[in-house]
Amino acid sequence: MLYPDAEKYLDEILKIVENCPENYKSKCFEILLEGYVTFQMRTTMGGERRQQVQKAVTDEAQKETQIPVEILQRFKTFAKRLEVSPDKLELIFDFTTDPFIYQPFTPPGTSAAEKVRSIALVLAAKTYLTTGNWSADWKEVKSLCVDHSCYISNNHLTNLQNGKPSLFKTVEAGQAIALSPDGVKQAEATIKALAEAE
Amino acid sequence: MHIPDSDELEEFHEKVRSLDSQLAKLNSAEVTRTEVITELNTVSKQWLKMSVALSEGGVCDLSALQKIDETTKDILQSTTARTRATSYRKKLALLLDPFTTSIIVPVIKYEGSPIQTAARQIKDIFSAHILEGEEAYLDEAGKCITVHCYRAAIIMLWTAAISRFHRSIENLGFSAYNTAYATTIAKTGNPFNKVSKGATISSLPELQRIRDFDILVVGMELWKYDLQTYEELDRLLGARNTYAHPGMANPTILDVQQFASKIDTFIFSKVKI
Repeated sequence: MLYPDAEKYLDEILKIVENCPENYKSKCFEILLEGYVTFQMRTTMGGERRQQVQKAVTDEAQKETQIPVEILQRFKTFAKRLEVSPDKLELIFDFTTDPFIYQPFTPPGTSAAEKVRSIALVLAAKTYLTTGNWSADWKEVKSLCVDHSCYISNNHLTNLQNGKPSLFKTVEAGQAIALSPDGVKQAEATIKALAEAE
Repeated sequence: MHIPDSDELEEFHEKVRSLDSQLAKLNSAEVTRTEVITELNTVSKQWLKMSVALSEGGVCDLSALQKIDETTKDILQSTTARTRATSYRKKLALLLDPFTTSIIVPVIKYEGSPIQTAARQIKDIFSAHILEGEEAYLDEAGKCITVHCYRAAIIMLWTAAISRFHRSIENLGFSAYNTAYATTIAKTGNPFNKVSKGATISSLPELQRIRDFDILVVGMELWKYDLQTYEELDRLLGARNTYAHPGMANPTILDVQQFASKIDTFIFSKVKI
């Protein structure tokens, strides 16, 4: 209710106004009424109350999870879309580092080429959580491929380009690797599988 | 100094491999072909330049760099004397397989680290709207990120934003600014009544003295953005001021990313030059 006990307060205001000299009655009523309305706005729907509620929600979120508040909403929506519990999804990330990273994982795929493409998809999902864009950083992909022993310098670009256009919109050496709609679906499926394996 | 990235190093490595193949065909004969000697000379000099940058960047093991430096200096000297192909190949061996593990892989790991990636992603946010001259500030913001100086990064991003405002005002003309300013201060109420009085300008130094806040308010007239956009910009200025002063506020990389994203949305995509 926007103005609870309005009648009661209005009566009180009118009583105070009654005691004012005739010339000031109108102005006095205006000031008191404005004061009452401002107070109600702050306590019921805005200002301090809203900040308190926000803080409580944030504190609650922080208690349960390490996920930074800035990406919490996107993270939950993502989990919902994947039909994976946010708790499970959280386990594949390490949010104690800044910027956050993946926990060690095994990229899906039997050949080096498949693993390279899986890594690009998985990293694009991390970019999505951070910035909202489905793209993977060229150099980050390369680095993770070295970690997983699937980086072959002569074939790296070709391995990624073979995923185009079904998975990637653009694959150029040194440039961000943008995912196609099918690539996004595949990335989501890969993340889901990683989360469910936890 | 420009630190060579892994793509450049791989290209260099490929050049060395090709040179080694050419030398292999000569068996133990003396190398007399000018183009081969020139290529050996070029490759050695190229490496010595890259080595200085890699050493300053602290990316690779210094002892590995020194070993390769000594070898390439040796190759360079050999190009002025009569040298057999086998002798060159012996020296080049250090720039073949060991080069990948000692130089290329550390560089790949360095440039692909999450913090380096985050710094590049900040620059990518602006890629569609950034103009020449503004890049320097974004580069500096990126460098701040790579050493986890997030407060400094936010300040540099704001500097880039103010640079855009200043350039746009210069292009529109100081009289256009003064007209917008006069219209603004004629208005009553917040935030118009908080704009500095008597702040007309006729030169760049005078513009540089104008408070950022005043530019944001006058901007509603000048670039025709609405009060909500102004309020968003004012919050960004508030954040910039918060991080420019001592206190407990401790931004994370996500704060920097969000700040950058809003600067791009509300300034770089709206304020054209």
